Amino acid sequence: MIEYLIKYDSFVFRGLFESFVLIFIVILILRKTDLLLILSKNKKYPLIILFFIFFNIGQITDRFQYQYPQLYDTYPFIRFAMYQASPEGVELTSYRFCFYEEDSNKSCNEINITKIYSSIGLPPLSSRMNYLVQNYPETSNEILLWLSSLERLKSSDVHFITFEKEFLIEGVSNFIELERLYVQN
Amino acid sequence: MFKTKIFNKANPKSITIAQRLTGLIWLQYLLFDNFKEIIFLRKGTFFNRGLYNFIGNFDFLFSSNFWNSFRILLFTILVLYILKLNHKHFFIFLVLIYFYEMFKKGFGGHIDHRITTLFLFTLILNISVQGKNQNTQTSLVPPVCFFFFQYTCIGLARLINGFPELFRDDIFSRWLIQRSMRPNYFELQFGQLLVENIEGIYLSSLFLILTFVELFTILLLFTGRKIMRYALVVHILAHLSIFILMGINFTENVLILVMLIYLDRENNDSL
Repeated sequence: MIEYLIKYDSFVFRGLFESFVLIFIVILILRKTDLLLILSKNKKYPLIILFFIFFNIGQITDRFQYQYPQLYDTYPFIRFAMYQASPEGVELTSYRFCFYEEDSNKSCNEINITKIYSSIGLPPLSSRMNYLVQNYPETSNEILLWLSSLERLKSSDVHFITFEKEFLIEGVSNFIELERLYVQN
Repeated sequence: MFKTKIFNKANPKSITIAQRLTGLIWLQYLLFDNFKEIIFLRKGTFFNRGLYNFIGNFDFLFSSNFWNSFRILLFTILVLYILKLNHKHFFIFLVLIYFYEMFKKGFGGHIDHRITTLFLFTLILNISVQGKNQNTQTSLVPPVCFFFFQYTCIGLARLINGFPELFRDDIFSRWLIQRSMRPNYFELQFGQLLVENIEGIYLSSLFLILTFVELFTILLLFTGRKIMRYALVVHILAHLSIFILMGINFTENVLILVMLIYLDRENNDSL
């Protein structure tokens, strides 16, 4: 976590400022409106207030959603803002999984894993795949596990499955093969 | 002092309608949840976190028999809850869905926020329901307050962490391109098309306006019905735009927004 903070040190100040403003907004709303009065009429008032305290603690402290694997889990009191300012900006990279037939002369039959594994949800799946791309070759074994999971979906003429990184050069897509898994037919 | 105007004239029936509609939102989520394939992901792709840290051997999780039985149980409890609105059914459902969602989190890393929103909204709604002779506004304001406040938190975080770069440079345009490049369910690539045809400054300005709309969402508790309704429609349109341009769906958020417009109707007697 300390390494992470050093890397993103320029955003520590912004994070602290955001937390301060968040608390200020909560106090302002409670003091300038009758919201607290309405909430206090509810028999479960202490429990509701406790939930809102946990919710706000989540917004302030849960800043490492993209870190894999996380040691602690405070679900459902998690930070809702997914935008994490990044010194690298927005990298124009993507990924793809391909089935290749032996005689197809390198034409990729792309497998849309966001459809196959839609249950995981697009943002989490996209973050996980981005992590695999950005941290290659450390993630090599993990990529092979994803490839071998897809093996059951192949047709009999598929020879190998690949995981590829996509990047843009002057608006044109380019692909680099990161891992390949040969399959048995 | 500003008065909380939302649901100030709501019919008592609105509470049970809100509970049933929330149950139905869960039902559609589970019906369309294509769960069967993630069982076949290799065990090594699963990060055991949260409650799964306490489960020693989780081989049973990678069995379709287990999850088929689990989902049947989940559906049964949910349907019972929708029909009877019994607190026991509700809390059993919430524990089961927590287990279910945390399993998915093991593959994705972080959780899908639309489901967390629905989870917290349902939880707070059912906690704040007080039984007989309850005041409608007192029961419905806590979940709606949470729901609106999460938008405020998102707007605030984006504004403070991203201003001015995010709204001035080409970051938003690059974001749209990146999301179009990455696979999504319907393979939508309209974000890239938009960037190619509209100047970045207009896109960034629109993004800044929508960020302010998010930031001020909490104030909708205190505005008149008309303003609230228009603002909620803007939120729905923003969610639909995110889906078309970035491929990210917020079905559950949209359904909650539609539900709120319905529940806070001017003539609630016909409910």
